[in-house]
Amino acid sequence: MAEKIILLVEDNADDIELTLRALELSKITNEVAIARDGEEALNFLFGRGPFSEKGPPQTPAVVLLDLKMPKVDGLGVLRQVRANPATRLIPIVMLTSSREERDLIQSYSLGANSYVRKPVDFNEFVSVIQQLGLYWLLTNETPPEMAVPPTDT
Amino acid sequence: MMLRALSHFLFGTLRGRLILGVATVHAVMMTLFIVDLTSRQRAFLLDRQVEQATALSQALATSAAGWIASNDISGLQEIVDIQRGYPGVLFVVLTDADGHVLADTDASKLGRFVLDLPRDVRQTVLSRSPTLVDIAAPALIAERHVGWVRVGLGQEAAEHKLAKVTRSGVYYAFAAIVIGSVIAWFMGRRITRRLYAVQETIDAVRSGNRQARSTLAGDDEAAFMAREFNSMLDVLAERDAELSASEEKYRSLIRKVQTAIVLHDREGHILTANLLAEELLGLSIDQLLGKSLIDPDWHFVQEDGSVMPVDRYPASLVLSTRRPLQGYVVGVSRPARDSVAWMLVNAEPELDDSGEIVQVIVSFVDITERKRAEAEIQALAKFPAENPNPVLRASGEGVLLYANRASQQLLRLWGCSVGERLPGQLCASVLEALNSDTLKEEEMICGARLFAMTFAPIIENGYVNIYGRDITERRRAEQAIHEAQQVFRTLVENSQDIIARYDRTFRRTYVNPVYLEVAQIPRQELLATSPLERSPLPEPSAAILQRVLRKVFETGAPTSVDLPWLKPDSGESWYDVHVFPEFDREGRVVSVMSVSRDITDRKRAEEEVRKLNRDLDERVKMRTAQLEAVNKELEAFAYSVSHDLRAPLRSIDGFSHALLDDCSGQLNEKGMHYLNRVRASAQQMARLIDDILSLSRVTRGELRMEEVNLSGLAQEIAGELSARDPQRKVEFAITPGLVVTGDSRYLRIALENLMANAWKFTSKRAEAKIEVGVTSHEGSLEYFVRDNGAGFDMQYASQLFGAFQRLHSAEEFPGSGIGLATVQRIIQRHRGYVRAEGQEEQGATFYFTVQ
Repeated sequence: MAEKIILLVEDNADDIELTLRALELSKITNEVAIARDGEEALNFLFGRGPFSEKGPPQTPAVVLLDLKMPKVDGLGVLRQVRANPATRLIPIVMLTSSREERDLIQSYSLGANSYVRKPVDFNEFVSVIQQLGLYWLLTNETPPEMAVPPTDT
Repeated sequence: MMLRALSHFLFGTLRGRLILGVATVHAVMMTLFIVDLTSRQRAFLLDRQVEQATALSQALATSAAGWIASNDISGLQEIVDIQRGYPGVLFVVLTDADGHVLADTDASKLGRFVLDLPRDVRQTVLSRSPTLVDIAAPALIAERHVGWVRVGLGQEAAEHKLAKVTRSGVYYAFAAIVIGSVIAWFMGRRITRRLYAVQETIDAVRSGNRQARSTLAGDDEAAFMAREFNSMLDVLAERDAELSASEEKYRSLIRKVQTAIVLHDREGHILTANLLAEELLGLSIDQLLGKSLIDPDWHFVQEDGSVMPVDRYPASLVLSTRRPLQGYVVGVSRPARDSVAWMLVNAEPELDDSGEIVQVIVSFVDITERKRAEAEIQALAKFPAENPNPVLRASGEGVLLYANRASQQLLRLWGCSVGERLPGQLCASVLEALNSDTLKEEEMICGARLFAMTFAPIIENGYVNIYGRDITERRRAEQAIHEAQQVFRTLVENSQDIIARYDRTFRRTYVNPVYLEVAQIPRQELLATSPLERSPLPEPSAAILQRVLRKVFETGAPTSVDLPWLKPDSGESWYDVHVFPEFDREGRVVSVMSVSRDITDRKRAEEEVRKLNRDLDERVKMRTAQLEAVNKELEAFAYSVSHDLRAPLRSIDGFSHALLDDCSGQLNEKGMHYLNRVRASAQQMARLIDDILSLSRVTRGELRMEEVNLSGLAQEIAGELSARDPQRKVEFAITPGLVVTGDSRYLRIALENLMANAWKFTSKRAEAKIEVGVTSHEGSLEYFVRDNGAGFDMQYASQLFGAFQRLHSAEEFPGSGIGLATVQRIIQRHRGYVRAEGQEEQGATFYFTVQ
């Protein structure tokens, strides 16, 4: 079995760097794929656009998904992933600054597996990332690979 | 019973006595005969016994002499034993001459001596009784006395014979009695038969058969007696018939006489009563005679209507006074007829020769009708007296002849009484009426009252009847009506409103002056036309008015309508037309009135108000839209604040951390300190943002009202606070059972802020205490959170609840200054208030109410 990869969907370069650092500090060495906006994330997951030539799309063990992004936002990504039979079972953790009730409700109703708020205190952030990595990569059993071929929709 | 009947037969009747006598004679004769016969037989039998004993003893003496002489004891005994077979032998004893027993039928007596032997040597009868014949005979040999023979014979056999004889005698005697009695029976019957025949006739007469006569013939004593008896019966029957005929006459006389009559005996019991009495008293003859029950409600009534006591009843009075009673009036209450009949009663005692009352004759005459007529006449006579109006009569000379009760007050005023002349004016009126022979009416003021007096002359009798009537009230009422009419007329004529009245065909029957003035139509054209025919109102107002009039006539309900009126000189005017019905006594609408008021000014004002309102509505709508837009913007702003402002802070903190971690070797102490300050500021700002967001949320969000357990919330928060800071020692005192109505999410935020503040400001206390409870303040329930922490100066109390207002430095107690503002916002949204009390270093108390 291939190594479990993490898909980090985040438009803020600072946040990408800090997240990677937090993963590093948490001793999580799994491969991290990075999408800088929603569209890129969908291309990655559905194996289309720039990813169409890289063979069948990789299924990440967990997607860390930001809410507020250019082009397609986090909720849009979530909706499309859940609508597609090939990707609908992928664990998705919302990783965001927002604590709005509205965002929480929408995320969960669209099928988010988890909703985590990024703390400002970096020590706390490291602790959050460590917990996420441990849980989704080690503790949690990933869903089986889907037999259905990915489609463009 | 049997015994008594027998005794009567034997001793009480002739026939019985005869039989008894004959039977008794027979019995006595036969008994005497039998007794004599038996006693003779008995003597004869005894003689024969003695003879036998003598013979036996003689024989034995002869035969035994030799044996005695030879003293042959065994031979002697043999002789004795042989004698036992002799019938009736009781004993046989052989002795020597001295009485020494040589042989005996009773062997035990051998050798003894017999002492009672005769002295003389000769045959001697020692005992001669029916039970024992005892003979002693000397045994002689050639005249020499050698011994004695003693023989005892019992009378057993003889007794048998005797008994038989006696029995036979008794049988004979009995038979003789029976035969004698039978003979006596037959003789008695024969002798007494004729007497019994007479007796039967007597019995028949006694049992009521007056026609029974003895038919005995012959010329013996019985026949004579029967004849005498028959003639006596004939005489008796004749008398009887006469008596009953006279009694029947008497009875029928009483029963048929046309006066009710009741006869009483001297005890007062009713002997008889006639038909009319039954009819008048309402009782049947059986009831009168006491043979059947009388209704307990039946009684006599006294003249005053009360129940008459029994000792006042006519018969009772006569019996007690022994005098006749006349003209006594009683009423009879007859429950069956439900009426009282009145009777005039006469009662007469009938005396015998010795002056004792034999019977009382009471007669009743029905005077009910007479009494009723009397009462009627009396009532009629009282008619003028009872008249509530004065009724008087004066003679042709003006002298007062009669005045009823109602005239007394007038008489006092006039100073006049019956028999005196009436005062001058009255007197004149009387004379005038009499002279003119016509009714004369006159009004008179008598004291405070007004009277209408009618003088009615009665020419033939030469007097005048005067009838008065008090017309004070009527006159006052008439005046009141007149005044009221005057008032209403004045009101209507001077009203500024247009007033009209319509009949059933909607034609005007009245219009007031304003109407004429406004309409500018002549009165005669308006009257007797309907709005449709002629009206100052233009179409379609006239038609509308006519419809309203029709509706009010039909429903009887007042109706108002606003009608426009286009006037040639002043342009459009508006009238409020109020149409209402007039009812007759039966509640039917007889006419309808309309009152129209010029409301043109009001209409204009209303139109203006309407226009203003329309403008205002539009403005409000616009402002609301603007506000909503601002709110939306604000929301979007808050949303981006929460998201976008935090990201750079995270970068500042994260990279400061990286710098501290990765480049610590290149930084001196001071540089590291600055970086830490940068991180602290970034974190402080993040908290600030969170608090501002929270405040904005509580301002915007909708309230979900429900029952909230404040005590439970406080317990939870206390638990969370303790868990966050486990090393701190804080005593919580939370009053249980605090329940309010509110939004639990928001109330939790408020309580969290207050308790977190308390927690924070007691952090420097070794023994911190936080209370949550309720108290009453100026009539409302105030919930409070109290601590014994740093407290505050009351002069700054007003600043506590403003956003970003702080009374302590962030170094002393960290915080954003938003918490209490949030609390106040939440409490205000719950229509409550929040206030604080405190003193520096003495703790603080935050009170809040929830509506």
